[in-house]
Amino acid sequence: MTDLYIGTAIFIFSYIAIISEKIHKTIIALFGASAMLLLKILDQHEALFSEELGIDYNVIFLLIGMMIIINIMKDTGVFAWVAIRSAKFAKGEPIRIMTTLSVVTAAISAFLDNVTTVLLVAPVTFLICDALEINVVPFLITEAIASNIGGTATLIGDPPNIMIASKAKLEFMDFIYNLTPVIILVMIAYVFTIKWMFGKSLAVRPELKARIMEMKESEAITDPVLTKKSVVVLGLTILGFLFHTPLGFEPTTISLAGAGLLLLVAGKEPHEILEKIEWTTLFFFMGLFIMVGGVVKVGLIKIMAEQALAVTQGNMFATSMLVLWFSAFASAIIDNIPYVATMNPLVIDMAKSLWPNVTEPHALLHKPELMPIWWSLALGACLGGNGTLIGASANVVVAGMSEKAGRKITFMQFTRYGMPLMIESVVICTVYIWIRYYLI
Amino acid sequence: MVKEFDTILPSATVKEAVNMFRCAMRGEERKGVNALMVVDEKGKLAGMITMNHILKAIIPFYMEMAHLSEFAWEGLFERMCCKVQNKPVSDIMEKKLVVVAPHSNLIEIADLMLKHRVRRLPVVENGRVVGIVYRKELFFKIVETMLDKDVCK
Repeated sequence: MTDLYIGTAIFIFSYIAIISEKIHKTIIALFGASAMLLLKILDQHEALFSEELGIDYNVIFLLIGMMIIINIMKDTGVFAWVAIRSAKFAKGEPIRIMTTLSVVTAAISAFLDNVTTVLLVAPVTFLICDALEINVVPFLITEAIASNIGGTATLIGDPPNIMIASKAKLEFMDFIYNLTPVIILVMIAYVFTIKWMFGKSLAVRPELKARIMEMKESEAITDPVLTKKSVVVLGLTILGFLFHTPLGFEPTTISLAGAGLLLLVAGKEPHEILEKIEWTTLFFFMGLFIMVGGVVKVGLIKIMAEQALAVTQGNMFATSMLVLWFSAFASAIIDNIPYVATMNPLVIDMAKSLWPNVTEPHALLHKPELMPIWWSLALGACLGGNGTLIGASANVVVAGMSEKAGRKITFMQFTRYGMPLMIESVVICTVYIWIRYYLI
Repeated sequence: MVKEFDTILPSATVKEAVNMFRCAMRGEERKGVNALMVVDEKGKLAGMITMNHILKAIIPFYMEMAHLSEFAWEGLFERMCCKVQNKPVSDIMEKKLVVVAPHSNLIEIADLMLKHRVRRLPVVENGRVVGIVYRKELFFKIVETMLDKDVCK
């Protein structure tokens, strides 16, 4: 019993410390993890090797693989090429550029991580807005939000999806069949909505459009050979993801294979690439997994799951809605990664409570009544990040860059656009989930 | 060490600094100076500003971030000059300065200059700049020692 209190205390203090942002979250995660071990909530073997309680290496290595690929790709200038090409496609028209860049950002972000996508599209956005002498802030906000939306579409697009896929043993195509359709709908609504929100305020002098049309996007490519190699390897990797089930491999294998292949053909010094991997983020994940493992072991998650079921009385539609909307608002305020790390075992415990006779893991995790819950969690946790400035890292990064340009984006400024857009997207999800999983 | 040198206030504008660069280069005994010590009203060293800092400020930050400088358009350089000229020197100057003390030895000075790739170092005593030591002075010392004096046999 005392273990429950100790474990819960470590967890709550760590969570509060992470939210307060006074100490770097990775430090807290690692410290919290070691507390779990030192106070014997978990033992080392459980922390390192338990599939249920320990570090989820599927997630860690999938992220590593994709980080390697994007690290090699980003210096080739290919993303700048895409962004400039998009602006020219939009014929220098501000509102058309905004919608085109949003769609492009969302598409890239479905395969590569949101923050890096935004970091790659933003400089060109600054360039374009400077050339057209228009305010860059609406573009940055819409790109950040678009990256979060796009990232929700695939298994690899956003860490919450990767984490859910690992714990729920889902496949890449599961996400394509269940989430991509609603994300496409969300993006269509998004494009129309931002057109309506910003359309009137963005006017440009016609002669400035020539500055955009004269840009030769081919000059953005700094390494044509590596660009071709990276694009080919990325393409093969995506094909690998699409067909990983018939091929008989799990997603992480595909990610590592793609990374390995690109490292081989890129011909660069490995330590150059490997030192740019976001180790801080990965160690945060590791510490977090151990901490969550600790509270799973002491039974805190089981208690929370039973509370949640008590609220919804076993009504699965109500549970879906609760998970969707609660996740959305929670994720708007707190980091969605610790949230999803906590929710995954919670959903599993809910399933165990609801169907105690189903003991085979696959059968339990994939029970048709449970599937909408997973999708609600994924949609809510990923899309919720758009609600406020602090909801997603992409938002924070964009605000930081904007401040450097002398145009600070305040919490309220972002939220004024983010919150309505987030609610719009979650409403679309609500209707989708209701129709697809409960009506039909 | 040179004891006569130009200083500028942190609140002075970049335009004023550029003007001082031009004037400073006219003075005979101050030939070759293209850096100004930024000293606050109380006389304490706040930073240093060179033409390179101004050049850096002229390049839009996003172009520096992402190799996009080849996409600059006609007139951008001039426009950025105008944008930068009224900024306070404190926005652009180097704040993290490597300094030496009046009694620092020549090896130490040479080592610092090479490590930080600078051609001048402020000589600071009690937070106040009392002089500037130039890399050229070290060169002169080398020439003097190796060629002129009979120090090395």
